[in-house]
Amino acid sequence: MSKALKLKQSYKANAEISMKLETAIKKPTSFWNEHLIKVGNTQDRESFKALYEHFGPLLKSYFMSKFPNQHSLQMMDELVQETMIKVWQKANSYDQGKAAASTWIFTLARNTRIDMLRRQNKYANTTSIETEEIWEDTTENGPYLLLQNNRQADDIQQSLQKLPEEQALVIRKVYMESKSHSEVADELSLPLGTVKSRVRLAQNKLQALIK
Amino acid sequence: MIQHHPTDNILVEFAAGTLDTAQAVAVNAHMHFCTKCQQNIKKMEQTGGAMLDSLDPEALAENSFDKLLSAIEVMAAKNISTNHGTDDTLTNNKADLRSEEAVNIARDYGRLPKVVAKMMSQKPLKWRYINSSLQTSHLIAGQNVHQVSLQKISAGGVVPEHDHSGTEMTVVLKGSFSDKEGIYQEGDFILKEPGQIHQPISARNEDCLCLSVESAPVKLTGFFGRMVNPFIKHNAA
Repeated sequence: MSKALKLKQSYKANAEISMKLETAIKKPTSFWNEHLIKVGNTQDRESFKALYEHFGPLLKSYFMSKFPNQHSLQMMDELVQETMIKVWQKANSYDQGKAAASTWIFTLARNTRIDMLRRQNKYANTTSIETEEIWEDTTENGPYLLLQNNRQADDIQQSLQKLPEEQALVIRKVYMESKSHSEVADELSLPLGTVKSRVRLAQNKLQALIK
Repeated sequence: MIQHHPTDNILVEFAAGTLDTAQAVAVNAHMHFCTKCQQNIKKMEQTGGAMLDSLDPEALAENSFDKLLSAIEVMAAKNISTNHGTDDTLTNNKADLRSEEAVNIARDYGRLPKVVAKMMSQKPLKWRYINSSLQTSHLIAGQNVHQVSLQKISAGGVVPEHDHSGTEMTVVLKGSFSDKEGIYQEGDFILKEPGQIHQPISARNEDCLCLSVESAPVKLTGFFGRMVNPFIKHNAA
């Protein structure tokens, strides 16, 4: 093999390695906020795709953990799609001064889940009240709540990793598996009070960063 | 000044989306008056976002992004929007003929939480007397697990002493009342559980209007209470 060819191959190998490293390193909060802003301002499809490829698989994991074995994977894909459609349609109201992209998308996923449960409830159409009116985005109408900057959102991520296992477990079940405190207590055979206090402790540790 | 709030555990369940619709309505009504709880909810949603980011990703179906774009295009073509914006319920053109009644109600009772005003305007309010001091009007919240109602205690009136078979969430919308545990004013959120017997008394100077969300009928205690229980009519949905 010629020297030039060997050099070319090694450049290519290095490029591949650095690309792998780049995807392995977690992107900072501002990265996703910027993409969301682009979608809102100019309906930027590249940004939307980047958001989809990052959050889509996370959303699928979120929906699957609430409905394990109960619903088809196709329904999980549909819930992801429903959430991403909301992202597309509401991106122009996203304000990065008020929430990180992951927080904002989490609330859309939560509301999509609630919508699905309400659709299954035969009483739901006796009212004209929308899910989004009950689980309101208070940052839209309320006083400007200076909640966070991007560094705080990153800090919370770090703190999450450092929570004691017992607290991380219950808070994960409450937020991601959408279980009530009673359901978590039953599942883990713990007293209700213990579950409640572990969730409170975990919350306080995470919120200690937010002034 | 609001002194009574939902517990952090209730707020977490609200932020995580686990709370029953009717109980979420009660929390929402309280949040209408309370920026402190609005901020707490926002912080909890932040936790939710961080947790979402830390999940193990699940592979999406092939071509799913293309399917998503097609779905969006179809919606754009049909001009369907799931974005309800920030329209005030009263000016929202989705509101039906009853919006005029909602305007009147809101004017009578001052600025109410949007969701409460909407429930009140959905069908004409039918007030029922429990005793000479307490009237109640059933509200529809689109579920059948909890009984949602407005409670109106006349100025200086006394509600029959009662216990609760389930949990009762109360949000004071206007005026104030007190029981042996404390004084409750506009915006306050009160949780009562089985075994917590109380006898609410309204303030002397004005009627007291509350939103009530009960998981089971209340049980009348006290001498006359045991003989007849008008609370027993459990209307759901």
